[in-house]
Amino acid sequence: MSAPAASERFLFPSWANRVPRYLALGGLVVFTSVVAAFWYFGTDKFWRVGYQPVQPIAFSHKLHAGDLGVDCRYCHSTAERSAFAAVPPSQVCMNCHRSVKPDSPLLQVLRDRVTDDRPVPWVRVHDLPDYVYFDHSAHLGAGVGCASCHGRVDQMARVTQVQPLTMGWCLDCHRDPSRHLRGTAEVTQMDWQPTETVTRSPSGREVQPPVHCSGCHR
Amino acid sequence: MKRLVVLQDTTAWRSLEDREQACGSGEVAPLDAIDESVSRRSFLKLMGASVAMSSLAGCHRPAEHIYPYGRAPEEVVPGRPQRYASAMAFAGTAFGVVVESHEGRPTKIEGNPLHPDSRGGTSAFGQAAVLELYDPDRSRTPLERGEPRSWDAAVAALRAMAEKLGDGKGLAILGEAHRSPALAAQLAALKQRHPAVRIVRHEPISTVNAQEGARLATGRRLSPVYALDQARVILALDADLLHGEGSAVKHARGHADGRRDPRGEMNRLYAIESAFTVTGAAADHRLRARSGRIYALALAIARSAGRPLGVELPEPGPLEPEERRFCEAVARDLVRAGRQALVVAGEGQPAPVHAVAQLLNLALGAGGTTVSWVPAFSDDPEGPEALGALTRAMQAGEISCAILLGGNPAYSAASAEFATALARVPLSFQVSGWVDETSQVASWHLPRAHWLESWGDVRAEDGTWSVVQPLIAPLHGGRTDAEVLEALLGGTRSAYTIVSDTWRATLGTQFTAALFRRVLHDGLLAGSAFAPEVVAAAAPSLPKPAAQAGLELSFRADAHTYDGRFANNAWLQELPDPMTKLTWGNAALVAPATAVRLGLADGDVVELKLGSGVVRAPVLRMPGQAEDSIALTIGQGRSRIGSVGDGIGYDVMRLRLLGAGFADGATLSRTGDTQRLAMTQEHHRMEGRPLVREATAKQFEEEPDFAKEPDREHPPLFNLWADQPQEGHRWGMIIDLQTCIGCNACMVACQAENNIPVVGRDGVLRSREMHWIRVDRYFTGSESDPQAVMQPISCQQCEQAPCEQVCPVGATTHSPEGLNDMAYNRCVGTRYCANNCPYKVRRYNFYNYNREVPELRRMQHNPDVTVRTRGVMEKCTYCVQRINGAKILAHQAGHDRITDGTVISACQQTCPTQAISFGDLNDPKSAIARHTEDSRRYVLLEELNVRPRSSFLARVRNPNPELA
Repeated sequence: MSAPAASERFLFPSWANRVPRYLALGGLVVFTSVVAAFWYFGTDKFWRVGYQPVQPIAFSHKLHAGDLGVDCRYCHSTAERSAFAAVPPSQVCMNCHRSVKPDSPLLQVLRDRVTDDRPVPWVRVHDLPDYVYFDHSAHLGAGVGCASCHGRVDQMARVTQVQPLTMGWCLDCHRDPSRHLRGTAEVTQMDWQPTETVTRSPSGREVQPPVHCSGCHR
Repeated sequence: MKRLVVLQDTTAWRSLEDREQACGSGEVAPLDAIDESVSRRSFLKLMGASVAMSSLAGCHRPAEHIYPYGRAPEEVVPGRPQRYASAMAFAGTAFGVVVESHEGRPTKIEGNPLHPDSRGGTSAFGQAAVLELYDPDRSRTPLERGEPRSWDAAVAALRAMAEKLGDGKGLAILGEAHRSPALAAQLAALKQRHPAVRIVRHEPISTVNAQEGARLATGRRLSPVYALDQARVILALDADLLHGEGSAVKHARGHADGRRDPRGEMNRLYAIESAFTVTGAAADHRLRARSGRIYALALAIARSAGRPLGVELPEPGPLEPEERRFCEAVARDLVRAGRQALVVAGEGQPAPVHAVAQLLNLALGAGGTTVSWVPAFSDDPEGPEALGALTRAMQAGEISCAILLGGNPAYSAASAEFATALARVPLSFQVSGWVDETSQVASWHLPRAHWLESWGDVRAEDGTWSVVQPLIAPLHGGRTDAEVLEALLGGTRSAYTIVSDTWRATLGTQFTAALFRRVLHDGLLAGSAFAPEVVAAAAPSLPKPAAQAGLELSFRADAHTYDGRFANNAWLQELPDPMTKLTWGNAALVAPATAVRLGLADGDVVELKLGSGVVRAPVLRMPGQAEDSIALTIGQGRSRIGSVGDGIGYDVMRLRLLGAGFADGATLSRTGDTQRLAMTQEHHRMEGRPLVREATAKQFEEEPDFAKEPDREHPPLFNLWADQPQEGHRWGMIIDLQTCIGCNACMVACQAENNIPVVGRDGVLRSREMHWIRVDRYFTGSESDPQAVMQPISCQQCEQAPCEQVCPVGATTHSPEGLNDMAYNRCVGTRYCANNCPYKVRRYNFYNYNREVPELRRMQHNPDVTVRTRGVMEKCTYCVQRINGAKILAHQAGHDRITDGTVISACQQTCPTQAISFGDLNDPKSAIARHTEDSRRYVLLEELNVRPRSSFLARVRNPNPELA
């Protein structure tokens, strides 16, 4: 066997000298992307704050709830009785629109749907995961107002999600609900501002929102 | 002081393997024994693909739609369930039910507390009926010789036939043994128009023997109605009256009410039976006897009791000393109880046994207290002879048109060759919910509406009259039997009108719209029970008991499918048989001694021959089974029912001489094949600790706290963790083993309420069944003649929960009210919690069981409970959705606390015997707080100091001192 050539005396080829540099650079890239990803998951953008889908009918809450002053519960009539603040049946729209603007082309979709008795496919704006059991009646009963979660709907021509609806956001209020509690009469009042620290529900109960898992997950 | 605890490691055993010390844990099936449908390699490929798919799909959250009503129904509040009363006709009676409906989807069935046959409870069959409604295999369109046709065409064919009928000769109507006055009125109208029409009633498991027995005993065809709550001594002659037969829910409740408090007077139950039944397990004394021997024993008891009513009864023949001792003691006890005694013969026993039982009841003066007799519902011929005669007429070509209203005679009357007879009938219409074995030979198949989607009415065993009201429009356009007859009669009335017309005609001036609304609301017409008949004993000449020879086969209803009608119900197929704990199929049960004699082991496939019938079935050794008697169940081995039930188990209908409960002279030969039996009895073991505790009444009197501390050494209890808060609500559950009979209704109720998936036979073989509550069965005593104790086990909701300590992601945590919360969305599936659970109550989703579920079946899901996905652990939550719902309502009303009885867990609600109590341990006035004071209360594995919130009340048996 012949002696090894000079170049073979080294275990690694010369380009291996650059490896630590690349590794450091690569590590930096990975680190930055991980941080950026986590950063992004924490942002309002990821949680769809500002989500404003186009609805099948250009229904304006600003016009109805704001300018005309229709109470939220006229349409979302089950909010105080049920977990769902149900989107009203098309028949409720027609209660007024049979006489108000009966021929408006904007309402053609509604009239068609009423005629052939099919539901209007509204797009859900506030969409909680299926393993969360939010209950409107519990929150209204405790004196939490609509605006606390839905924002100033009376100023929205097209409804937008204004809160992140994350578990952390829920828990902020569940741990200290006092800034959001008000009387029954003010529950649907959009421009309500807290004046004092309230710890009791309109029915006089001490409000102690659950902060354990099965309070909302079941 | 000597402790009287009877059940110790050495005395309670779960299975024969337990006793033989031959098994390891029996937990895991060897993988090579099970078909591997997905290889490891393809599994990894699939995994990679689905990860890639899911990350792509994750970029955009899909837009979700809200579809409001166009025109909202008046009473519907979205998110709030509604409840409607109805009734389920079943097993010769009817159960009043209250059905929960979410936005028009029926999701859950509960018992109607007002109905005498339910009293708020239901059976496993009642609970599972809602799944049947959403069975995707239900028939969807009329078929003529297998070709789809419209209903209009079917009605036209019916009308064309009706116009040629004349006096009705050649027309046969074969129906179920229905109890619907509206349907009876339709049949009467048909008979009036065509007087020669033959109407025959047929049920594979029928009450006709009881009626014939009453005819022998009293000279009139009557139906006996039992009131077990009035009875102090009950004798069951091969009768599974607490579980498998007739008004089982009512009987179970009556039996439990008679022994709820062991400090007071307790009733005493004797069972003489061939197969170990739920009733036998609940009995204080049980005598094993071949089914064919029951008649002789009944005669011996009747004669010892003193020649009832002067009627001369035949000699029972020679008795074994043990039999003589038992019969004489029972007879003395019956005589002592007098009018509070009750003798019941099983549905499988022939009429003479029923006659002896009824004569005994009459002689004891029990008529009017524990038993009353009401008129048989219908005079139409029923039973094996009637069906046999009809079949022969069909063979002979005397029948030109047959209309089959429900039932499945091609399957259930296979031994009479009904299918070949029906094939000879030129025109036949079958009304059935499924395209089944009979549909293959009938010329027309008409889809039948499920009872949850149809108008009808039904009278319970005692005559209580209910309206069956629909919860939903027929999903597949099915029609009811009455509507089909209406079409035949040329009428156009709807099912609702048929029912209300019948009510109007029957009630006369009493009928008002307000009354009918009240009936719909309550689910029954108050005071509509039949007036009991005044009965006197006739002087029947009863046959002499026959001698037994060779192997006996006994036939009874299958715990999964009843008579086959529930064969396509996955909940019931996966529900373990209460005694054998067998799922997905049936087995031939043999006594251990007989198995030794014949050289049989569990799972050996044998060939059973009786007459011309041959059946291959796997053997299962069953302690407590009578020797030389093989117990078979009917209702499995369906060849044409649907994707769930086809080919499950084996079919014994060819062996079973039409309607017979048992038969002698069978031969058995081994085939050499073996079959794995999917049994749950070895799963979730708690390794031989004193888990069930029981004593006799005498022992209990001497030592009332016998259950408190068994003879077990353990170091002083030491708490590693901080104590949990004890303020506010403190939820707890107490299960009374005294009244629990192990009927499994709680298991199905939990499954329906909590969206629990089924895993299939392979899954059960791998111990992967998902039931949140299971019922453990323990034997005590000898292998050949044991007693059995049932113990329902669900999550014990430990205060110092071992599962919580080991979860690496905090997915299971403690709520301030003492629940072990399970946050599914946090669970990553390490399964540490299940490994650390001493009670083995946690269940793991090995596959995404809910993904494959058809859209239609998903309509049953409870919207208040998360549907879990693959890789998630789950377990009993104490029905936290019901707790939260009640809390919200209480808070809105300004109350801080829920009042006792507002929250009822699903298992508690359905329990026919009210063995389960659930409530707030902090509320001194609650029902459960009273139970905590009971000296019989004990917790499982107390020495672990995990402080379970669930506890048990020990069982106290009431043996006869003469037989002790």
